[in-house]
Amino acid sequence: MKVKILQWHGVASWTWNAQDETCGICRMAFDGCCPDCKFPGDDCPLIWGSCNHAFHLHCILKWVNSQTSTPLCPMCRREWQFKG
Amino acid sequence: MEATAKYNRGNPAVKRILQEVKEMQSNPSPDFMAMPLEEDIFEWQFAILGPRDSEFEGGIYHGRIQLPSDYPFKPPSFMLLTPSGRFEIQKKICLSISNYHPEHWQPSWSVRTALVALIAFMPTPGGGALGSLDFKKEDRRALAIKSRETPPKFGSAERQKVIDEIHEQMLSRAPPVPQLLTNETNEETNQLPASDASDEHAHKAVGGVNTAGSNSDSVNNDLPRPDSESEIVQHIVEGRTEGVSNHSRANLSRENIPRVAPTPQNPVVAIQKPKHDRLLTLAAFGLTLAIMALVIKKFFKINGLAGYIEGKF
Repeated sequence: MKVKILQWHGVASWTWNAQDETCGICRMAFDGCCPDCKFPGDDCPLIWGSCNHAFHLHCILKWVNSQTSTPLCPMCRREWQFKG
Repeated sequence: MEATAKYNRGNPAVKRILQEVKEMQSNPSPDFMAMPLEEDIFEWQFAILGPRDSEFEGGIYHGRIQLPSDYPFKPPSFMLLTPSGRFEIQKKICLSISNYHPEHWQPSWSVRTALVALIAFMPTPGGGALGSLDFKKEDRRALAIKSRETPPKFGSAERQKVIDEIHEQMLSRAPPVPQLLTNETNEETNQLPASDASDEHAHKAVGGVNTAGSNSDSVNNDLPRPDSESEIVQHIVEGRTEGVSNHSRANLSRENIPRVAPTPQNPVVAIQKPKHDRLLTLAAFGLTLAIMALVIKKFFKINGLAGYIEGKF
């Protein structure tokens, strides 16, 4: 029995390597994007804190900028520091 | 979907709130219920059950949550509508989750976590906080019983409709107020000082638990009896079956022996010879069939082998 391959298409998929599936602030999936963006990926990346909690970049920036005192991690309430 | 289409889905707060509505509907809780108004998704009506093992147990307490326009980055405000003896009604209450303390708010919190916290706050002392009260236990229990009778009156017709709907569903879920404890509590309060009353209350509660335990034990004792009876019946049936089989076997063995022994001696038994001949005939016929089957099998095997050789080459 012989099979002749005429053509083939390569398909790749990617996903964020985060512990959770949704952002703790906007409740949207990490593989989706934050409420203000339209496309996931480079335009709406994830960002990790020193406590290893991940959020959409725009969500955590909005939260950090809205705090008058030292911002805390929304999940564990430790002092928020962006992971270098 | 029609209701959803009304809202401005570009607003991040609306998106977050719609996510919470879906989650609340797909994963309801027996301790509380909440839903937004149809015309204003930022205003929610809720009802919570009084926490168990407290003077609020069995009560249904309604309230309103007002979410801010930049939710979840700012905390909501809470207002109770049903008298409870713990929170004032129609006045915003001061909690670590409410807008009185925005510095304590976390954007990962939600309406669900707020209601769980509110239920947990009920038995705590008010401490003079804004919107808090410190009624006596018996007064609170009376208010709990009263809270089940009618939902509170508040706001427009649409709000009242939502409140009534929530009240009906909570009534179907909620267990009744424990009446016996109410009577015991009243008696204790009438007869004994507060501390002793509370101690005995705890003791009686423990006794109640033991009583419930003994009741469950008796129920457990009753349940296995039908099973054991059915097992006994099965055993009897099996015994009878075995007896029948043994009896039939004994009959067969006994019948075989006398047939063989008296045959050559008594000419009277010659009458049974046709029966014996029939059996022998049947046996011979069977053997003939078996031999023919074996011959046919060998024939087919030879043909099969030839086919295999042909196929190989």
